[in-house]
Amino acid sequence: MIVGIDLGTTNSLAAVWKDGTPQLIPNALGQFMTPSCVSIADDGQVLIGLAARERLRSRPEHSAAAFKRHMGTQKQLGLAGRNYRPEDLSALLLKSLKADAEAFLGQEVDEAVITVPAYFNDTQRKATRLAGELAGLKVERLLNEPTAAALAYGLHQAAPESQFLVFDLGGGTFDVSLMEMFSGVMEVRASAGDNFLGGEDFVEVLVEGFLEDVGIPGGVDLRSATTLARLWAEGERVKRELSLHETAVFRVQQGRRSLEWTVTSERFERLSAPLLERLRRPVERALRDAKISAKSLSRVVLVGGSTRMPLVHRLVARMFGRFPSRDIDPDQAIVMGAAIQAGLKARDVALDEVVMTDVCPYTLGVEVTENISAHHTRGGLFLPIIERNTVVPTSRSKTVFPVREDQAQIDVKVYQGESREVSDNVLLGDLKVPLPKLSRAQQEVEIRFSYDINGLLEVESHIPATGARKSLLIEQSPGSMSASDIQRSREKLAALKVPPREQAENRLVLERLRRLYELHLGERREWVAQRLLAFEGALQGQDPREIAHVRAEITKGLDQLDGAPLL
Amino acid sequence: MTIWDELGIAPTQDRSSLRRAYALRVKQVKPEVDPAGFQRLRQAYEEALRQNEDEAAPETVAEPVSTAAEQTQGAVVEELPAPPVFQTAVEVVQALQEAPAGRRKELLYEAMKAEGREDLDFQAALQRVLARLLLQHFDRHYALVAVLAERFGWEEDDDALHENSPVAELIGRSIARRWRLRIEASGPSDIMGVRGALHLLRGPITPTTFESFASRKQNLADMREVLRQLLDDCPQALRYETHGETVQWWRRRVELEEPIRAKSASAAGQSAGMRFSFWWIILFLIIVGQVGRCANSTAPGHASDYSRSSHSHPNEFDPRPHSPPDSDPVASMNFKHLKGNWSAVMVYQPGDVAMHGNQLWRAHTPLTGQPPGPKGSGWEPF
Repeated sequence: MIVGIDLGTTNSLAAVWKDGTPQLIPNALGQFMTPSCVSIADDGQVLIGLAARERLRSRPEHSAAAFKRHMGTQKQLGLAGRNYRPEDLSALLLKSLKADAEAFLGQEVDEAVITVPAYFNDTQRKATRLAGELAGLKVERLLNEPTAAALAYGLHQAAPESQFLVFDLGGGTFDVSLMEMFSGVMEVRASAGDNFLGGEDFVEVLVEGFLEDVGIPGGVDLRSATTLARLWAEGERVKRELSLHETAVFRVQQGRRSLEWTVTSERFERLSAPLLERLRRPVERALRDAKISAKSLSRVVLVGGSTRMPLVHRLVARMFGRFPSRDIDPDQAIVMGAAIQAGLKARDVALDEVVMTDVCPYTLGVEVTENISAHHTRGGLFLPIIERNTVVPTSRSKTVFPVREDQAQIDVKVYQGESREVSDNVLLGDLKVPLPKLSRAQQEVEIRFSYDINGLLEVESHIPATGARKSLLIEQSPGSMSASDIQRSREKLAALKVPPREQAENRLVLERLRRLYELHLGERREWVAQRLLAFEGALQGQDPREIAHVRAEITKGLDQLDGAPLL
Repeated sequence: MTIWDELGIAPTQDRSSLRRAYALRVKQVKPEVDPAGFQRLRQAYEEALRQNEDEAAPETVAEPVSTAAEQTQGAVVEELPAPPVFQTAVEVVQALQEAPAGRRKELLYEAMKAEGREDLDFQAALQRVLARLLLQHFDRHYALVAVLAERFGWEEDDDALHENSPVAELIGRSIARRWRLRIEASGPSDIMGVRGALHLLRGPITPTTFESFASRKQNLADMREVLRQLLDDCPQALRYETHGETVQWWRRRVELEEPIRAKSASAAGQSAGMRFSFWWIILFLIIVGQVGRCANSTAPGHASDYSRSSHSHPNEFDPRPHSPPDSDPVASMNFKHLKGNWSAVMVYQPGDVAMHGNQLWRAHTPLTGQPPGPKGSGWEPF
């Protein structure tokens, strides 16, 4: 069985293709959305999801969130005194989703289609695939998120011929894809995006606004993880409240004082102006690349939880002069598409007549030196080999020559980007091709780039004079893991214990109580302490019915005190 | 196997039957099931689409924005997408021109927030008209370019600037202007040094000026420096801020000067050097007459070749064998000058033959960067 997984910055979901339709998989708490949070509990066990999110505020130094933003970098996140790579944390999250799927399906799951932002580069994609492997999942396919959403929408599409735009604003990334459908073919015509723009940035804007207008008296250390986590959680809450109301109050408890900042949706929109501006550019580029005018689109589809924000919704309406569609829950469209892709992969008959083609969203090429004249060369220039928005899979080659007569090897530096100067593009890797001892004219080297449907790049060199052919793996790609790194990760992850599934709800209530105990003072703290004691007593009694009863009672009380946890 | 065999239909000009044929075939070679088969089909399909476009090309060739047409206001009005766009653009330019420099950014931001102005199609049209208005009176509006470019992200998007659009032209011109102003500000205020060198490059070729200019050795070094910066950093300035033939003329002189200077440096004593310089000027006066004629006979607009070509003919101007620069022997590579392979080569000489579609084409003029086909002028069927 292949499972479709939306591995998000803020939340993750899983779904399967079953009985001719995509079906969402609930987690141990019975919810479809699992917060992308990991925490190491005091007893050394790993908590995933909502319980980990609770600990993000009470034990920030033992918890991690939004690690997707660091995929494909060397960054290590410290949890309970040990360092973890973003791949490790993603693997823990994937393991938990895998367990959910196995419980739901009653069979083992070892294959997955995982979605990634269309604008993820080669290193980030490889990191995602590796995370899957560390979690014991064979990654059948890395699917671009807006493409997945389009697949979910495309199946619903009544009109056989249409063009539509997917506007996908997630927790940490922004993607735009232009889709065209005709005769059962769904074609991505152009993709554009921003890897560092998402809902989290809107939270940051609110936190900064609060600090600027109100600040924290007494010089509280802003670098303290607890303070930051609290500000962040409150910013998130205010952001959500502003989606429902015209004003919201940003409230931070500082000792016995409560600091308050009233923010209107108009103020929020002004603070977010630079972010809204950044949402325009990729849309403009995708339309221009596909040579499609905004008017000729049959619809604009909103995907990703952040498109729930009214200010984003309004911006899209103003840009396109019409109201966008949200027929499918914006949080679920991507994972539905991933499940459909899993069905396609399994060659389910219900999907036999659907073909989906995708594009490479950025230009890939190598660094070259050009002869400006006989004595004049200029280095550091970009030679595109695969142009952006080329339909994948694809394979293209270009021929290059050594600069000097006596050159012993060519250093092929592989870049991704759109600038003429490589210094403005992203270095993906570095390969060395030894040259034969021949005259320069015979030393021509053909460099072939092959880009597969998963968005992974392979580079091959071929020297026609000698016939030497070399398939090259991108080494030293900054941010990728070496074989020994991977082995170390495996060992580290194997040592971590996950609490039994049936305890998930208990862990959540415990972590929630502990956080509230630390947050409150006086009577309320006393109230929380009593509940904590009662619940620990029930857990020791080991009577499942008694535990469930106490848990339900406490949860009801907590929801009144704290509000039901937002997903 | 032709592209039509691959698509499984008889050659057709009809776009929709082409698409239908592709849709039918692609289900047999799904990209995830048969990547190689899919790539063959896709290549055939794209080629067929391109040929289709080429057939329709004669109309589109006449249409592109010609720079000459933009010089007159009439041409702008004629190409207006919609009246409110032009109206808005004129208002915006006027308002910005009148506003103090520090207020412009904010003013433009407010202006673009007005009802209906955030619409994507409207803004795309507006940006084109704004660019044309600024091009019409470039000197007067130069200061506004940066404000508009920042607001609309004109300079962020390298790729958009390769298009033949008024925005690309405006940005090219303003990059060139910025470069010139920077060079002018960097030298001494008199007409010596880099400033003087730049001044010479902006006018017609005057051999008599050469004599007095070259009598100061530092001047030639400055000229070389200006030329280096021009070619390396700002090819746009070749087109907009300098005189193409003059640049070419100076390049030959400055590059020829190199070996002589090397000799004079090895000879001891300053007087020897001066003697050399003297003979060398005489030598140049002779060459000037000859090469100057030669330069006049080359095709106009040739200077733009330097900006784009990755490889002018090595022996075009210089009979000496090519000496590679003393750079890192490993770090860099070079384009190939391979006649006919147009994916790797951007310069064609007359008589070059290239394959495009399933037809061969021959260049009849020197060409830079144009793929063969009826779209690129200067090609004829072979």
